[in-house]
Amino acid sequence: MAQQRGRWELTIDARQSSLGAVADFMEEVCDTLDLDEDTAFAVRLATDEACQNAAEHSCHFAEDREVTVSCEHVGSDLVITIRDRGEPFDPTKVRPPQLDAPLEERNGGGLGIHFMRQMMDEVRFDLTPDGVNSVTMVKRHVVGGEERHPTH
Amino acid sequence: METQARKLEIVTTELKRCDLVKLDGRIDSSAAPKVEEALKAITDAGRYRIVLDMSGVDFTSSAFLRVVIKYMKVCKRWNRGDVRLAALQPRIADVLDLAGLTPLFKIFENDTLAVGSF
Repeated sequence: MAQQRGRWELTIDARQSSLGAVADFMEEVCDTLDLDEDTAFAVRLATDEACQNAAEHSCHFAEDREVTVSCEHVGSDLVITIRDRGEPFDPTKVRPPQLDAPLEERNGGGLGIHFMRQMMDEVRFDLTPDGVNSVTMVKRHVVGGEERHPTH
Repeated sequence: METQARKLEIVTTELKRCDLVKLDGRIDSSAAPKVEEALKAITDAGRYRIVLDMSGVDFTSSAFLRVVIKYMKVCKRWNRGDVRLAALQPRIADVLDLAGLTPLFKIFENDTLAVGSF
């Protein structure tokens, strides 16, 4: 993974099998920042969901598309950005999950964005003028003390 | 915290009452299709009573929940079976709660109770 001090970045192709690399990457970032276990779980889950959405709904799991994850700590806040150049993604068109519906009416749709919003303090979707889908997620007041030395 | 990437391992055991699927490791979105393959192999063989032993699972995302929902529907069709969960770690139980799935799933403290429920 590419790293400057306090900033880490990973780019994967948009295949579903590549999402394991994101999970590895986020474990390493959480370790390096010495996040507590609950915070680390929340951050890892939100990032997995955001990357799954980008790879599936924007990039249609095409191996010639890319998804980039950046993590940065700004003061004590952790800011995670997920970018892709797939189809424009409009989060308002995603139906919210049916949390009270019986099993027959459930398919698990909409849970990804629901989890992102529940796990993070701020979630923002943008489409840049040059056609990049960008999701910015912030977890506030979670980074403190000295970073550990990354393992690589 | 210290974490160590633990790739998902799946071991399926055909028992008299049901099939016991022991999941061990991290079920990130890349691993959910492996769970689906394991469940499909069981239902393709005409068996529909399944216990997922989750004691070794420390991470899961919505991709896994979609797989479980799908196969729970397959197994419950014509009352031929069910997918039941055993030994959830607290964070995994929280994820199920957050998804509103806890009332829909039969969840047991351990795999022995879950297997015995069939």
